[in-house]
Amino acid sequence: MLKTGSEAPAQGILAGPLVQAINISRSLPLAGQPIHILRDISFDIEAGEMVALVGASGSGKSTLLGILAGIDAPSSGRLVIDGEDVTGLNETKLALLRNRKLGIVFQSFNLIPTLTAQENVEIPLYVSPYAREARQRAARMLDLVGLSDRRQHRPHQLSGGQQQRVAIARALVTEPKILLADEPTGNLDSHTGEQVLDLFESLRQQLGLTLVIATHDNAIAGRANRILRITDGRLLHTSSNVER
Amino acid sequence: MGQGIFFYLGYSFKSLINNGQRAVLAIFCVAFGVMSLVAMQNMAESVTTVVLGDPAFRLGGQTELNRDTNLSPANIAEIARLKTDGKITAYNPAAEEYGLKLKRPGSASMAYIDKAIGVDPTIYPIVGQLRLGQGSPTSLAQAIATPGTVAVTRDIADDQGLKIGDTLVVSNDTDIAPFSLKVGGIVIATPDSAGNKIYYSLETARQLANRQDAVNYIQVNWAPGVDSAAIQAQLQNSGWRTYNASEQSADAKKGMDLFNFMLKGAGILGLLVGGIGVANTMVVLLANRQKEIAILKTLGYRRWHLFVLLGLEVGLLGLVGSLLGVALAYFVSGGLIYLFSQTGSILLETSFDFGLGLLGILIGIVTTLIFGMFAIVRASEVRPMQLLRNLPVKIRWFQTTLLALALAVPFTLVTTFVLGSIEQGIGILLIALGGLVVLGSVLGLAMWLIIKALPTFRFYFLAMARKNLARRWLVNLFAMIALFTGVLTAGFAGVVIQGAQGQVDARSPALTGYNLSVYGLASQETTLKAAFAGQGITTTQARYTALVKSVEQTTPPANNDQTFYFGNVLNGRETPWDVTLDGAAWGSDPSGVYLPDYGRDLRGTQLTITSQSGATRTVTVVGTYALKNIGSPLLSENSGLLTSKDLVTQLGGPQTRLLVAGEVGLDRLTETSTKIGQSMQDVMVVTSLDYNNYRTGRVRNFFIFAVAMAGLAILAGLVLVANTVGLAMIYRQREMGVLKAVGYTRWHVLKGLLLEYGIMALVASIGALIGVQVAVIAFSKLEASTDGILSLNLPTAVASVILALLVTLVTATMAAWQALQVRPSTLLRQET
Repeated sequence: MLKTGSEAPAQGILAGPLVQAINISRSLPLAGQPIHILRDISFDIEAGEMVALVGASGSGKSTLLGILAGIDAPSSGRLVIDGEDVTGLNETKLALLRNRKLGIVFQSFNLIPTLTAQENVEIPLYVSPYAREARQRAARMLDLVGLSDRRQHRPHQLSGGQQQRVAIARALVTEPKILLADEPTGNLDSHTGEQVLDLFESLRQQLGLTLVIATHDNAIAGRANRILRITDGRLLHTSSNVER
Repeated sequence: MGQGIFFYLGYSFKSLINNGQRAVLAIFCVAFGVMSLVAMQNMAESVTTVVLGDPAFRLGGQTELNRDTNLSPANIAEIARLKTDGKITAYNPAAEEYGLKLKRPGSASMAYIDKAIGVDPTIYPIVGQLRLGQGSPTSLAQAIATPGTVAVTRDIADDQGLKIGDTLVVSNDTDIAPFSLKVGGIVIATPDSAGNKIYYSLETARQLANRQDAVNYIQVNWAPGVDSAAIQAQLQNSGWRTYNASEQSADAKKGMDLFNFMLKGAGILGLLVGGIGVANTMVVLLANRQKEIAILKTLGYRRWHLFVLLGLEVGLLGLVGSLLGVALAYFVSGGLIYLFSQTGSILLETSFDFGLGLLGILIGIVTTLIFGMFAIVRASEVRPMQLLRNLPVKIRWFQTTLLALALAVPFTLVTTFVLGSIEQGIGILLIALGGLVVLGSVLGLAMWLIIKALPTFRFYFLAMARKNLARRWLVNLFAMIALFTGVLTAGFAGVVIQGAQGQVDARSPALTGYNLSVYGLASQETTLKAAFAGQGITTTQARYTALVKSVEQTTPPANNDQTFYFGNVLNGRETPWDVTLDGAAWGSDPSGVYLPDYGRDLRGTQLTITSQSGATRTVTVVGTYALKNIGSPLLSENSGLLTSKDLVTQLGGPQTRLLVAGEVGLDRLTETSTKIGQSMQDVMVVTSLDYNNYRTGRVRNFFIFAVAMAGLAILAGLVLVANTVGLAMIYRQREMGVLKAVGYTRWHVLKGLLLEYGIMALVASIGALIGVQVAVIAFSKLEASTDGILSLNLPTAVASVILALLVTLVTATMAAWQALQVRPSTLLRQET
C-alpha cells in the first residue's frame, strides 16, 4: 500500500519512510501576487524505491525535486529525510545534507568544463569525510559507470551519454541514500537514454539506492515502482507499477 | 578541505587558464597597480636618499670655515693645529672656482659646470663617499695627483663624450684664462649625489687661478665630545666665518616629505585603479560561472569553501600580475629616475630595491585578494536553484555598499603600511574616494544628459550607442573617471611646462648680435683676430681682464674718509665700446680708473695696485662706468676696475685674459665656432646657442620628466578603458552573435562600439580640460607669480581632446578586435 504521508513519524525517529513530504507548498511572488507552484503535496518514499515524478512542463515537478534535493525551500509544509526534518535548515546544514545523503543528476549534466571526468567525480569528496581517498573512490565510481577509459577526458570530449554517466558517478561517489534525477535523459537520444536508465536500475540494485526521477516521459515513468503524477502543482494521484 | 589543497590549486589554475582574455585583463590590471606602487616607491627612496641625505654630505663636512679673502698658508696651519690638538678629526682645504665653462678642444658642445673644486685628493672627502668608475684609477689621489689632471662627474663625461686621457679646456668670464686639463678619472658617485662637478688637486687649482692663495674655505669634522660652538666662537674672533651643516633649514625635509607623499600617493592610486579593474573583471568573470558555483553548492560546498577555492584563483592571478608588475617597475623606475636626475644634475644611480620588489608582490597579492573578494562574495550569492531555473542574482545595493566599505578597511591597512602613517593611509583613500564621488557625480550627470538629450539625427548607430551607454553606466563611469584623471594630469602638466618654456623663451636673449666669443690670453690677440678674420668676421670687439694681487686704497676720496674694498680684478678696453662712462673722458688720464657705479662719488681716490709679480702702480679713480645693454648674454657681466688695455696688460702680465666677441650669421654659428676651436685648441669658444642650451636644457628635461609622470596617469585611464571594453565584449557576445546573424558586419558592430567610447572619451576629456582651466584660474589667484604665465590655449585644448579620443578609440578597437572576428554561431552557442 502506498503511504501518502499523513501520519508523519516524530521528528528524529526513523520509523518509516526514507522521505516524507507533508503538505508541501511552494509559491513565488510576481508583481505583488503569489504564483502557486506547488499546493499541499504529501507523499512518502520508502527506502529502495524507484519513484517517478511525472507531469507536463510547468507542472511543478522540477520545483518539487528541488525541494527534495534541498536546493529550494517550501513556502509551507514539512520535509523529513532519513528521519530528519530538513524544513527550515540553514544553508550550511542543507549543504551537508546534499553532500552526505543526497545525490543529484540534472538534465543538462552540469559538469564543470575545466575539470576532467575524474576530477568532476572527485569534487564532492573533498568536502566530505572521504577526502583522503578521493582519487580512488572517484576511479572506482567511474569504473562502475563504465567510464574507466575516459577518466582524463574533459566534458567537451565526451558524448552526451558519457557526460551523464560522469554526472551519475559524481552524484553517487559520496554514497548518498537518495538519488534525485531531473529529466536525466532529456538531452539524450532514445537509445542513450535507455542505457542511462538501465544504469540507474543496475546501480539501484547494486547500491540499494532510493531513486526519484522527475520526467514528463511516460515510458521512463513505466520503469519506476511508483508514479507520482503532478498537475498544476498538485499531486493528482499516485500509482504503482509491478514490482521490479 | 585541507586534503584537497593540491586539487584546488589545480582547479584554480585550470580556471584561470580557461578564463582566457578575462584573466589576462585582470592580470594586466594587477600588473599596472603593482608597477605604479613599486616604481614610485623606488623612485621616492632613491630621491630621498639624495635630497635628504646627511647635510654634512652636502656641505662637505660638519662645518665650513672661510674668511674675507682667500686663505693663506698661516690660516690653513691654524686649522691644522686644531687637528693636532684633537679638536677636529679631519679638515679639507678647498679651492672652489665659480662660473667655469668646460669644452673639449674643437668641440661645438660646451658645458657650464656647477662646481669646480681643488682638493687634497689624499684627504677628500672627509664625509660621504666619492667613487670613481668607467676605467678610472681606484682612488681620487691616483686620478688627480698630477697637476693638470681632473676628475669629472659621470654626467659631464657622458654629455661631452669624455674618456680617461681626453683633454678639456676650462675658463670663466672673469679671472680664469682658458686652461687645459687632462681627464684622470670619472666620478660615478659624489658625497652629496650632485653631478656636474670637476675635481683637481690644490696645485692644479693654484695654476688654474694663477695665484698661490687659491684655497678659499676649509671643511672640518669635529672630534666627539668637543665643544665645537666654543671653538667656533674663538675662530670667529680671529676673523673666521663659520657655517654648520646643521643650520641647513628644515624646509628641505618638508618639501621632500610632500614630494614623497605625492610619489607614494600616486603609487597607491595606481594600485587602486588596478584593484578596481580586478574587481570589475572578477565580477564579470564570476558572473559567467554562476552555474559552476551553483553546481558546487549543490554538491555540498559552503560559502567559505567557495571563498577558499575562488580565493586561490584570485591569489594566483594576483601572483602572476604582481610578478609582471614588479618586472615592469624595474624598467619604469629606472627610466623615471634617469629622467629625474636629468632635471638637476643629480648623480642618481638607477638601482632597484629587490626587497621592495618582494614587498610589492606581497602587496599586489593582498590587494588582488581584497578587490577580488568583492566579486567572490557577490558570486557566492548564487543559489543552487540556478541549475533548475534561471534566477537573477539579487544585487542588494546596501549589502554591496557595506561590502565595499568593509573591504576598504584592509586596503587602508595596505595604504598605511606603504605610506608609513595611518593618517596618510586614510587620507589618501579619502582623497581617492572623495575624488571618485565628486568626479562620478559630475561625469555621471554629464552622461545622464548625453543619454537623455543627445540628438541622434536619425542616425541609428548613435541611437544604439546612447542606449548601450545607459545599460552599463556604472562600469563606463569608472573608465571615464580614469580617462578624466589622465587627461587632467597631462593637460595641467602641459600648461605648466608651456608656461615655463614661455618664460624661458621670453628671457632668452637674441641669438643675433655678438653671438660668438672666444676666451684666451692677451698674447693670443693677433692670432685670435686672424682666426675671426679667416671666418669672414671682420667686426670684433675685445675685453682684457687681469687678476692682480691686491688693490689697496692709498688716499681716501674727497669728503669721505672711509676705506673701501675694490676687489682685485682689472678690466681693460681700447675704447669704451660696451660701457657708459660718467666722469673724466676716456683716455684723458693714463692712470685713471673707473669704478662700477655703487652710488658713491669716489673720484679722486688713489689706489695702489699690486700685481701677482709684486709690481705696484698708483692709479686714481676718475669716474664710474655702467655696462650697456648690447643684447648678448655672453657679454652681460663685467666687474672690477675699468681702465685702459695698456694698464691692464702691464699689470696682468702674461696671464692677462682676452675676450674677443664677434657677430656671425645663425646658420654659420656652430660651424664657425667649431672651426675656430679646432684651429686654436687652447682657447674657449662660446656661442649664444651654448648659453641658451644650458638655460633651457633643465626645463626641457623637466618637461620630459613631467610628461612621463603624466603618461602614467593616462595609462591608468587606458587600462580601465581596455578593461571596460574587454568586459563589455564578453557581456555582449550574445548580442553581437545576434547582430551578426541578422547581417551586421564586424565593421557595423565596431562602429557602434567606437561611437559609444568616443562619446565617453569626449565627455571625459572636455570635462578634464574644464578642470585644467579651473586649476589654472585657481593657481593664478593663489599664487600671484603665476598670473599671466599659466594659460590653456585653444590649440592645445583641441589637440588634447583629439589625442584622448584617438587613443581611447584605438584601445577600444584593440580590446574588441578578437571578439569581433568570432563567427555568430560560436557566439550564440557560448553560455553567457
